[in-house]
Amino acid sequence: MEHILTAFGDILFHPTVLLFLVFGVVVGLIVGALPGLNDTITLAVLIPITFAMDPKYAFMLLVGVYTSACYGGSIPAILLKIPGTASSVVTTLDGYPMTQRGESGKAIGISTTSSVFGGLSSSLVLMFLAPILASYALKFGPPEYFALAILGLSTVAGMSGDNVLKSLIVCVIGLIISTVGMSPQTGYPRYTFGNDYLLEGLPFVPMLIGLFGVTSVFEVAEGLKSRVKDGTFAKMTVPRIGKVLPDLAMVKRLLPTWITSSAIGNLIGVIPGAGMIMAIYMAYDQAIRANKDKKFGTGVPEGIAAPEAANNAVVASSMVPLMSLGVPGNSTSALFLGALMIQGLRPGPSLFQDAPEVAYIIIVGFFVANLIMGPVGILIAKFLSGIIFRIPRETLTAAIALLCVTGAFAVGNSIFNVWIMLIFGILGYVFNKLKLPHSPLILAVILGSMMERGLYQSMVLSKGSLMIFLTRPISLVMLAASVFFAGAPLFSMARNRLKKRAKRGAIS
Amino acid sequence: MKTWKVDIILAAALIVISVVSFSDSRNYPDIASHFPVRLSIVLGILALVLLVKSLIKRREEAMFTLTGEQFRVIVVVVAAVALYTTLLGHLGYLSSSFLLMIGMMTILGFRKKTVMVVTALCTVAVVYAAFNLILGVPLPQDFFMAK
Repeated sequence: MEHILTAFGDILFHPTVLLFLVFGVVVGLIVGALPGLNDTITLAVLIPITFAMDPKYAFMLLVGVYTSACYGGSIPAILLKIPGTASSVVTTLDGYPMTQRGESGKAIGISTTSSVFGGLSSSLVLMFLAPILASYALKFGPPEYFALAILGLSTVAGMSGDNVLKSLIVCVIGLIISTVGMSPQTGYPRYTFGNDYLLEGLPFVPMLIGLFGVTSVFEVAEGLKSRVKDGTFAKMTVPRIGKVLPDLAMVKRLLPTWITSSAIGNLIGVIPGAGMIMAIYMAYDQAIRANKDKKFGTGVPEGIAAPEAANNAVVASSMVPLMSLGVPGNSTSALFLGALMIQGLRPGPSLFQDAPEVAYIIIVGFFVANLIMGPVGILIAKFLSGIIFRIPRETLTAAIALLCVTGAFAVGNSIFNVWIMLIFGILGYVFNKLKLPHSPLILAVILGSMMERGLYQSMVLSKGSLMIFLTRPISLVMLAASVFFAGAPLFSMARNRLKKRAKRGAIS
Repeated sequence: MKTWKVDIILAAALIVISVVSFSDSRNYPDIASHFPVRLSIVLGILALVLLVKSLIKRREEAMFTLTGEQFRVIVVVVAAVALYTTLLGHLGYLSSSFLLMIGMMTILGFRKKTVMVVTALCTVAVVYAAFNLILGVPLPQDFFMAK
């Protein structure tokens, strides 16, 4: 406790330390809001710069960027239907419809408060529960990872509404896409058709930019063309952003979603390699289940609150295995490992004995960064939304197209990525026309390789017996939960149909 | 177009994809082929279910509406982005991005030429500054910038 209080003092009473944290938060918000750029790329760029810095300044900068980048991604997701980062993909589903209704301020307010709630919860987890959770996370072997992937995919059933078959089809397409590139076991190239660019698989971020950004460009173009005829396109009204922060009634309404989603985010965050995407989908799925009376995807506040609380809850909790065991939870926390090492520090339990002032300032830095992120985020989001609605739609659409292609290119400095973005843009547009959901595709692409690797390694471990998934407690619990998540909506659908039939029978 | 007809076309396309995927993946070495082969089979089965379901239910409502004009504008936007992608490596980032902005605004019906040019110049400059100058992302160099 003494170390924690000292770290608070170090940050709050030393203006330079606080300034680096605020600067990190601002940089994180900006890169998060730019499609194609994310926390990982920014940290990779910043780490060499931090080499010569005082460790306190260096880590405040990095903590600030990591904390706010995924929240920054929600700003274009809400205002433009382009997720700034992969972690804000789900936020577009209900965020953009709210903007279309003229409620962008409210949507941003919900995103901000949810992100702060999720972020603060994971900071507290990092502060007080790190060693306990990390020991559980280390019990994850191949069968548990396979079961985790199944659990993630089972949420598709809950999100599919009446269209379970089409969701399953998209899910399988996503899994096939995830196999493109070298086989993780043998290195054999699959579905590459002789193209070397495909050896490492399809680039994920250009795929996302295509599915969301480019698809929205096509849809706006389609809509504008019909409006050009009746001459009404120029009369765009600028919605009043108004009050951003949610009122007490809204806070009370969202509180259960925040708590559940933050718990999901924290649990997923501490498991190395599980990732933010799984957390946001699971949280969204849980929000749908808990609010069956609401039509998600039409601008429901819980649809923003769930993914935003979950993704920010992953941030600090992904540092749990790194801080307590020296095992990075994801690629971004792996960069923190690098940053600690170039400062001559050894991550893991010894960090708390060798350099407690650095260990605790990182932990407390996450907490303070989340508090700073709220007001700074609202200021930036208000400024951006004030500009965006004053720009003519044709100009804005052209600028979105430019931002998309630049973002796709920036991911790997490759023109091939821009082609992938365009192909997935067309695919996303066709999906929308055919009423095929995007979410199962993204989830399956992310989880496919984890699923395949888990399955293969489990089969090697068990010498081909599927019983390995049922004899390990964590795997068994997750598979049982998957059956429940996938089965419950199917069961309720079948029950509704039977009720309808019975009603019809009674009438006739 | 009626929903059941669209679903039949979709199912047929998916069956083709599953057949192509299956025939390609079964030639991979044993371990590498396990996962994709099974996925191809599952996709084929699901496509057949969709086919049968749409034939039995025959939902008559329209799946989507798309006028000829709307279809043309989508094709032109796709062509513009494809042309941009091709030009990016030859002309460089600034020139091709400026042309993309002008092209997109024209396609979408914007007619104020001076505003168009100024907007295109400013947007390209801001995006270039954000990605290249501030965040250090290397973007294709323009012919007039070559040393």
